[in-house]
Amino acid sequence: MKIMKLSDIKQDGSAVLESIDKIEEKKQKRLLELGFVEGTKIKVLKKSKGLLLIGVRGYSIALDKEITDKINVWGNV
Amino acid sequence: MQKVLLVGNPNTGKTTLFNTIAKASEHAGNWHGVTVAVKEKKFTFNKKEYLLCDLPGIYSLDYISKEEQISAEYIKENKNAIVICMLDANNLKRNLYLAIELLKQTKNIILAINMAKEYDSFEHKKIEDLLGVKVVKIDARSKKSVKSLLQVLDNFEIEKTENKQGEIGQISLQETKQKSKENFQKIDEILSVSKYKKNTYYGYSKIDKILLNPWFAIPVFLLVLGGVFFITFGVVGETFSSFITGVVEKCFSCIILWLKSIISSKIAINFIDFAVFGGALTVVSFMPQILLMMVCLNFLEDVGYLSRVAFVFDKIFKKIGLTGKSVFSLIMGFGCTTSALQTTRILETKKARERTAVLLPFMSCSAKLPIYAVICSAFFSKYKALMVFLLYIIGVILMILVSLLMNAFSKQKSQDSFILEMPKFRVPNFKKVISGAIESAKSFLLRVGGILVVSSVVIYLLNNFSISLKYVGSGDGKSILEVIAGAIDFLFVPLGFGNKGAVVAILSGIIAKEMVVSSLAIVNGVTAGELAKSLIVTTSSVHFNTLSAFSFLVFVLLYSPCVSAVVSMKKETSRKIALQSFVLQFVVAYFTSFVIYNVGLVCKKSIILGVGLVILLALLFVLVIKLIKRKKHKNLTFVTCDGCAGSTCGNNKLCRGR
Repeated sequence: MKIMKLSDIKQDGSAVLESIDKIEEKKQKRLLELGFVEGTKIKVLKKSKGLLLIGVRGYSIALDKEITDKINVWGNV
Repeated sequence: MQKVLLVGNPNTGKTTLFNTIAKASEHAGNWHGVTVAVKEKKFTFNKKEYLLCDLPGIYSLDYISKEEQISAEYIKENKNAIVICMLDANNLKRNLYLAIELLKQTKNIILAINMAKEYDSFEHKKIEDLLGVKVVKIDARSKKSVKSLLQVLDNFEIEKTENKQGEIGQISLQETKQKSKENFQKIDEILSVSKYKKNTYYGYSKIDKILLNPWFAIPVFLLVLGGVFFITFGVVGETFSSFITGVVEKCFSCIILWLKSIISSKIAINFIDFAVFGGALTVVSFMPQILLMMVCLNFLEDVGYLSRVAFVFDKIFKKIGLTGKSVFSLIMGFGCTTSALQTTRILETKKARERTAVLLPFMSCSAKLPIYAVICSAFFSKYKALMVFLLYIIGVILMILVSLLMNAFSKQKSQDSFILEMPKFRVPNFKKVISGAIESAKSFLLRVGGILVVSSVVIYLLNNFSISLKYVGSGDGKSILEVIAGAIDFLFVPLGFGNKGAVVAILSGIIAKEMVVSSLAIVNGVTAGELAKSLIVTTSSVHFNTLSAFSFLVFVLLYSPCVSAVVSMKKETSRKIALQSFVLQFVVAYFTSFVIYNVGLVCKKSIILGVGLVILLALLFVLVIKLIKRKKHKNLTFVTCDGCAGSTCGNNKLCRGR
């Protein structure tokens, strides 16, 4: 396990959230409220060019690369 | 009267519950943020009166978007209301967050857990003990199950809270961090105690592997869109429309016959026949198609398809300065620009809202349909559906071109990043789809129907009376409208329809697009049914040839939106932008029609020359955009580079004003 970008996780791969500190304040707050809290398990459900469909806390949410680039996770290469 | 607020995350079924309790039929969608304003309705239960308020969905009281602000402030203002917090049983791991936040604000809360049938082993009463709040399992669609909720409401004792506890909205990042950690820990505890089990991700199913694959999704989308057009304007819509129009026309002609027997004045009869009934008939003739269009849109939305479209199209839309979420507003624009403008509220940033709003009028609204129908059946009868489809495509293409042009001029890149929850892909509720469509068609009829008949009367009067208020009839060039149109019709000569009648129709279309057909009919002195034939005959006061008809259609497609859309745009953005849009549409329409008509004229002489001209114009457009962009980059280099903080950035040339 090592720290990497969420956008680098392969499709159907799982990871554990490390930090979202690099994201702009407003969006960071929203993501926190949506369950993107340190230590949360996340899964990449679908990867397309610009967007990632993320499974978190029992629901799915689409995030774009701009955001997932700035989310650090613990994952396997 | 006791106020009851319906609060909850987006797409948890608040509006469905609202409809069930208050016997309303508000539009509830399988989409994030369909409710964009607070809706209120009275209801009585057990001899007590309540005011039920349906609030736009929120994630927390710390708002980001406009519609969330509406909700947060409404909750703040109504401290003594009973709050029903809607939770989706499928999504409790997240939905409970808002419930916990609300509990910090007020004690007058009932938690309603929706669609709970799949979770039989889940002990929801445990939550009641752990949070100290009433919890009710409901099915928002069933009247019987909602009754149990109303019973709880009936027995509810309100705790008056005078003191303002914690301010709603805008807290620091540090606080949010702390809070989210605590809250989610608490939720996990609660859910493990109450034996809530869930391993799947709500909203995502196997079918999404296909639906979200761009190679598959884009052709499917085009097919779906084509299908919608086929239903609306093809055999189904056509039959439906002509049947209803036929029935109403028969009724009207009977009334006219009867009137002729009691009124002798021909002027009065003509007035009723052409002005009043003519206007009413125009409304009737396009209602079936609007209804079908609404049914299709509601269906696609309720299935959960539109969110998938937003996902797939996000990348393409980003390129033209929009986001995938704009798809919803833009598709609604095919229905009615005015109501679609309201849906731009779900976009988070001002820039994305404004851009989507300005581009919306390019999506051909359904009020323009009767115009296409009449003119296409006169000039392109064989390829009617294809022509109508082509017009819609032209609108979309121009929207893209204009957006690219705006991108070139605009200083900053669009920053509305994409966060969108996936709703479930599900079997739609057909009753809801159809009643929703009827409801929106009805409100559409009420809103524009009256205006239409009135303006039809006004146009008729202006068109038949001279400046000295004498009846002169139309076609002699003496009536008020003809005098005005005669003064400016030369402007439209280069577009191929520089004749008074067409100009009259265009002017009246600014009031409402539905007016174009009825005023063409009035000018030609025929009924709506005979209009198509009269447009071909060169002796009619308004007539076209194939090319000028096409040019006219394109002009109508693109020119300034109707008054109600302009007003709505001012409300959603600003006066300046509404005005800009009005002028922009006119300029774009004029320019495009000009190009089409003149290229068409050239093509008649030599096709090669015409094609060459089109290529030349396309190259010119690309060149203009490149030039503007280069100029902009020159200005911006070295100006604002805070992206790399000087650590790794050795080459400033690569770092143009981020």
